Amino acid sequence: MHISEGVLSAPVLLSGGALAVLGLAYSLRKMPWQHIMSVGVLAAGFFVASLAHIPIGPSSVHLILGGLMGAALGWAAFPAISVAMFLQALLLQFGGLTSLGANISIVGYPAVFCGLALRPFLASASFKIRNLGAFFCGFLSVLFSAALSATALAASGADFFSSAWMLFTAHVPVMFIEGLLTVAIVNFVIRVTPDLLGLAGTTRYEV
Amino acid sequence: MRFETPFSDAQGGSGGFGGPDGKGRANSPDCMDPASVIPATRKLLSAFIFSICVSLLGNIAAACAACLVSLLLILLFRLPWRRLLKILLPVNFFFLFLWIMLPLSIFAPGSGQEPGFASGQAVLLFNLGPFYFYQSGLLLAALITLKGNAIAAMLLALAGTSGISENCRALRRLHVPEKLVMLLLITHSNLGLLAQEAKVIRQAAKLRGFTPRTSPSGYRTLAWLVGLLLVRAWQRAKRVEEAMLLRGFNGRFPLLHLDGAKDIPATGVAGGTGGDSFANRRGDLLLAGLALCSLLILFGDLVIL
Repeated sequence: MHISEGVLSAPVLLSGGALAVLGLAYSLRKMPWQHIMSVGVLAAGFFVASLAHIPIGPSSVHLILGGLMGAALGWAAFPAISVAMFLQALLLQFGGLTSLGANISIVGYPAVFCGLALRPFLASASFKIRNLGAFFCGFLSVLFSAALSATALAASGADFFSSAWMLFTAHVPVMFIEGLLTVAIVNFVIRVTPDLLGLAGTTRYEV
Repeated sequence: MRFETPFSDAQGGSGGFGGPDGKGRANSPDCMDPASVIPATRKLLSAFIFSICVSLLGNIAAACAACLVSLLLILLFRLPWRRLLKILLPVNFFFLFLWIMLPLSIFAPGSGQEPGFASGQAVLLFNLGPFYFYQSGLLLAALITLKGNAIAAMLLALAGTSGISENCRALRRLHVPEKLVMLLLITHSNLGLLAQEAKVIRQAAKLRGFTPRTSPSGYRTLAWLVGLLLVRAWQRAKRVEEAMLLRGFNGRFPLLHLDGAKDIPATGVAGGTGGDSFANRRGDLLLAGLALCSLLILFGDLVIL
């Protein structure tokens, strides 16, 4: 999902950066100091969890877990994702300083919107509705992120059209895997600690 | 499932090459190490200016010059080559994808839609059935690879040589909001712990005969392992939050004002520039030199174009 340094054009970098700053300003104002500890620890948890390799045949992908993060943290997922991106840029060189803003916007906005929009479904007592909500939470967040990154790439020049299309296509299997695994993770988490998704008292402990 | 993290081996330490507060090479008696003498604020600012200038380049010669500047700094800071290449290798996978995708086109030369038709310089290299490879795409891929590697190497040389706490303090001085810097600090300090936790979970699953497979039951078990990690993180988060609340944490660590002591801000920065004047002078030199180099390259790029 990361777009490396040196690829995007100046207008795309600028608008991505401006969007990221806007999102950060809003979400940081919304997040109280008291919650900063748990947001930080959970961000680290999501970061480590997203490094897990999921096998598909001989190759493997890794999860993004953006939708789940949005459902668990709400708007606080935005700074959490930003911090994870910054650490990746600093420690692993994925993305970079100038493309940081664009990358934050690409992952952050879909995560927060999918999480907030689908949270009511996750809280549903019906097993079916909850599973559907969880599936789309994972599926749509990756879909929107892939669409945004393809758009950013395509907007950087006509030469990138085929690469953008390829990037999006390559993410289609990831969407399904992310959706399916989000369903299983949500079911597990709701049985063990419903508070994590802010859904205390909504479980019926179905098997 | 493999939780491959670069953090499990450097718990709580800094990434990159380890700074003065990590366990990297800066613990050696050689205190005059040029990389650690320069304040992190200036290094971070220099890296940022360099990144912006280089990412705007549109000419291969200018991008080569940028690479040269990065290389020079790496030589000056005496960074370990092996580590550097190991970190830069995964960065280049994305560029490899561009090397394949950018020259590729389904339009034949002379069809009016091939790349570079407008400028009249569509040079066909070869074709494989219906796929045509053009020179312009190859040149663009080369340009992007050079730019990306120059920026990544510069960031490694500048930000990777100071520890995370130094970098956080530098970010505070650059007026990044305190909440964000605090979040960065907490997240980083918990990464090592949670990577350890992930290792334990993975080992427990392995002991019970689990091997990750592409099957419904394999995916379900993987999801449970990931879920377990999230639950552990949540429990830790709750414990830490309660402990901090108990100590009156409110963005600051409150002290009893007995002898005029002030509360300690969370990120440990009260203001001021810090660092001795010698280090500052060196940092200024670096900042000025790099800014000049970047601007020269950018200027050269514009003139050549």
